[in-house]
Amino acid sequence: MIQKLYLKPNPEIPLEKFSSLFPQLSIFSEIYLFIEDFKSCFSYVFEFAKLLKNFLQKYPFCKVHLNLVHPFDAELRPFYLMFSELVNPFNLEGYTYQVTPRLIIFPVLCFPPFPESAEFLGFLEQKFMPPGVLIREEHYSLASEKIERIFLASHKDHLLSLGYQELLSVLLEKMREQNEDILNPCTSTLIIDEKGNFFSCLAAYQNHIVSGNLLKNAYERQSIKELCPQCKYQLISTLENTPLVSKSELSNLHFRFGLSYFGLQKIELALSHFFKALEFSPEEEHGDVYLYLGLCKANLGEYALAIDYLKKANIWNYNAYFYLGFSYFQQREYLKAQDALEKALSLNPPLEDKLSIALYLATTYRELQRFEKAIILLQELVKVAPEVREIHNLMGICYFKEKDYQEASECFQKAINLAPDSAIDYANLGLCLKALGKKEQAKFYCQKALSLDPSLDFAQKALEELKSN
Amino acid sequence: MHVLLIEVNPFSPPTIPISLGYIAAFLEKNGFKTKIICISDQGDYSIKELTDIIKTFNPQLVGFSTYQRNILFVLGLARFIKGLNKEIKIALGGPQITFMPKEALREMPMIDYLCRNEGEFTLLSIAQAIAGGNPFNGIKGATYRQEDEFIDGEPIDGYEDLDEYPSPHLMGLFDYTPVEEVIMLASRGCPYNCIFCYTPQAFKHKIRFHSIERVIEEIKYVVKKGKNQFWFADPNFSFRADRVHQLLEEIIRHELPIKMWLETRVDLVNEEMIKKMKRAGVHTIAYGLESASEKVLKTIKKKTSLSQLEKAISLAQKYEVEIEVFSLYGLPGETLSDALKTLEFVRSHGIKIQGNSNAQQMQLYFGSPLTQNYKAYGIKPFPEKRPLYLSIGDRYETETMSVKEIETIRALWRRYSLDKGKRVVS
Repeated sequence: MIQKLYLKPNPEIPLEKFSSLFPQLSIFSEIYLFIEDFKSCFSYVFEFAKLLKNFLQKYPFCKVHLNLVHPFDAELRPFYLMFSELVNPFNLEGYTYQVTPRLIIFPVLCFPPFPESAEFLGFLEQKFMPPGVLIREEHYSLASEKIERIFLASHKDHLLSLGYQELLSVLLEKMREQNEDILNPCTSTLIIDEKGNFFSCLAAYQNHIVSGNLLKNAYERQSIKELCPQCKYQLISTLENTPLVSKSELSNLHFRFGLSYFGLQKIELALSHFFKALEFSPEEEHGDVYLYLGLCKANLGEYALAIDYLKKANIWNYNAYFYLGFSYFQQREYLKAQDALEKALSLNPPLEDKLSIALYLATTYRELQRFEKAIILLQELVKVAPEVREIHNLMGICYFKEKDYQEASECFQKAINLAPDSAIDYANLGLCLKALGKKEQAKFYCQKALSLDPSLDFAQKALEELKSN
Repeated sequence: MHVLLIEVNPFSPPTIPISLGYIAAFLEKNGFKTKIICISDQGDYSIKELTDIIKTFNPQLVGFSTYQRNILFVLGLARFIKGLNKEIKIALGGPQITFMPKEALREMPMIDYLCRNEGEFTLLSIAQAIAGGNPFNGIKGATYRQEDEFIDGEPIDGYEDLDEYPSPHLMGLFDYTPVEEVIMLASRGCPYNCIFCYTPQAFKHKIRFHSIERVIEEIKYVVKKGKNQFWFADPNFSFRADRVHQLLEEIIRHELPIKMWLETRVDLVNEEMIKKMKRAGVHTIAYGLESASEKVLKTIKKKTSLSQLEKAISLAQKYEVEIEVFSLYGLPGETLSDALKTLEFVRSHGIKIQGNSNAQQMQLYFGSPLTQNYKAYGIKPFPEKRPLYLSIGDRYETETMSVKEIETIRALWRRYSLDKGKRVVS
């Protein structure tokens, strides 16, 4: 299905080639024709529109927006009158009951002079939908007083200017609606250049990744999903200094992209957007961005930077405290880690987060030799999540350190029940049993551990001791 | 036997086809294989894809949800489907059909049945007749052709207890991917008498309910599927206060992390209820304002007062619940200055004029008391030929408002609108 069709008409391409694509158009679709010389190309473009008309008459539930993009020329009035005659039957078709006509022409004039073009623009507005204009940036404020649909010549190729700016509009709308799916603003698109080459999206067109050719009836969709992140980033960056998007919109957009990539654990991509968000947001909004920069850096293992950003953010929710504690833990600054993780836990995080925070805190206690505190915390945890093996393992280690081998062995046994392939828990259980004087059982578990993981040196050592005794 | 159900909504983003979902669920439980397709303002399908669906799914019956605003698209699609296979039977249902004059079938040769009663039972009766090899005999709840005659089938009632209908949500019939907001239904029907409205007539002034347990189960199911925004399509969500309290308490008790939009009357809310609504996650309440002229409210039998409305608005605002109001112009007996009063009322109460709060010209739909007796209410339809399948709609002026005045008020609403008058719900 094609929702947007961008065409660069070339009279050497037989029109039937295009009409063969019409059944693949979405029931409500948009077609853009980029016409360099309107007068010389007129009969070809007009025939194209007639084919479209025939198609719409055959399928009276389809609707097409036909955008005619071409240089301004005030002498085009008679040509447009012919278009008006062509679409009239559709305007009358549903009488006044149909909310919109089905073949709608949107003229887009490139570089119209102001104010000389006003009369022609008025004529077009009267006959069709209000025309759009493609202009250079210096004319933007003048044009924006009178015209609603304005495109900037952001790229040399008008197709890219229009296409990317429409994409930006979709992104901004998704941002305003707080639509979670901001990473996928593209509708199903087909671009055909003057040689008949197919491109499956704007980025493919810009990078000349051809998917086939209309003249050869060949189409092979190239997967270019990997270009998507770069495409969106470049799109926003290219338009960042234009009047099309304000600084606060830029900062919001980048922040939303950052959040989406962070959610997908694409941390490097998230970082690039968060840095941009920082660049465009006012200082009083930097806190949120710093927070996520901190989270990203912690995810990348750059703990010192993570700590810096989290402190700069100065937003102390449980997540921030957790990442701060986690980063300190990784830096082996256990006292600071303990402080941050205890604060995270005191802020009542939801259960799934509470578990990982508490596990890190218990591990921190273990590192600080505060086994008793760790055990108390783990006993609480085991009540709500008895199925988590790591809790039993850690509790076993703490009991072992406290020389309570009986409790420790029970913990490792539970860990084994939950993860029967866990070599380390067999080895730990073996050590407990050895300490309890249960030599045969201890041998069995050390051997079992080594059969699963022969690299467990401490199990090997314990086994040798058991054998020599 | 396969039944294809189609929702065409050319002027709205994708939504959950709740009515067709109920019908599909009911047909599936009765042994029919169904498929629902939705066509939104995104187009969603190409001719090639539609052709493939018809050829591969091979339905013997296709049903459409039909409204005044989409009927030309529906008829176009019906013609297309008949063109692919003339043996496929086509049934129309929905608000446009319940009270459409049966002679309209003469102008819709591609249509086989007009569904007049509860969709689930009517479509089942049609599907069973087709499956039994006798497609135009003994059908209940529908109008159809028999040679040159139009036969009105025996009327058929739906279930009193809505829980008897299988849940399209719980049966997994919906794809929630393209929508932000999931449509739910906790009740059907309306017992009031507003003269411009079709609903009370179609539901015989009765209101029927789902149990709270069923609604909670559906919400939980949808939340598990990753969606937490709900749009309740009940015409009067708080018709029974005890039920509303119970539902909201259950949502709070289960800590369901949801956001809700709902519609109700200003005389069906109070402070305790709104406070609880806020706690349970209601972000917007839509009230039917219709007009800010007491005289007009009386004429249209709305049976609410402006003081009730003001109170309901201030309560919602107190608890920071967003408000939308449905308002109309071109109402019977309404003058331009009455209509201006409505606009002023909305503006002066801090209601954002956007989305549903954009006023619309009243529409005269088939079946509403006003349409049945429009002359007595001073409605003057334009002297023009109209196909029988279309009702007067907004093609009228009134004894108290000329076309020009209606245009004036429309332009004024647009001028103050934050989204240029784009209204999602019609």
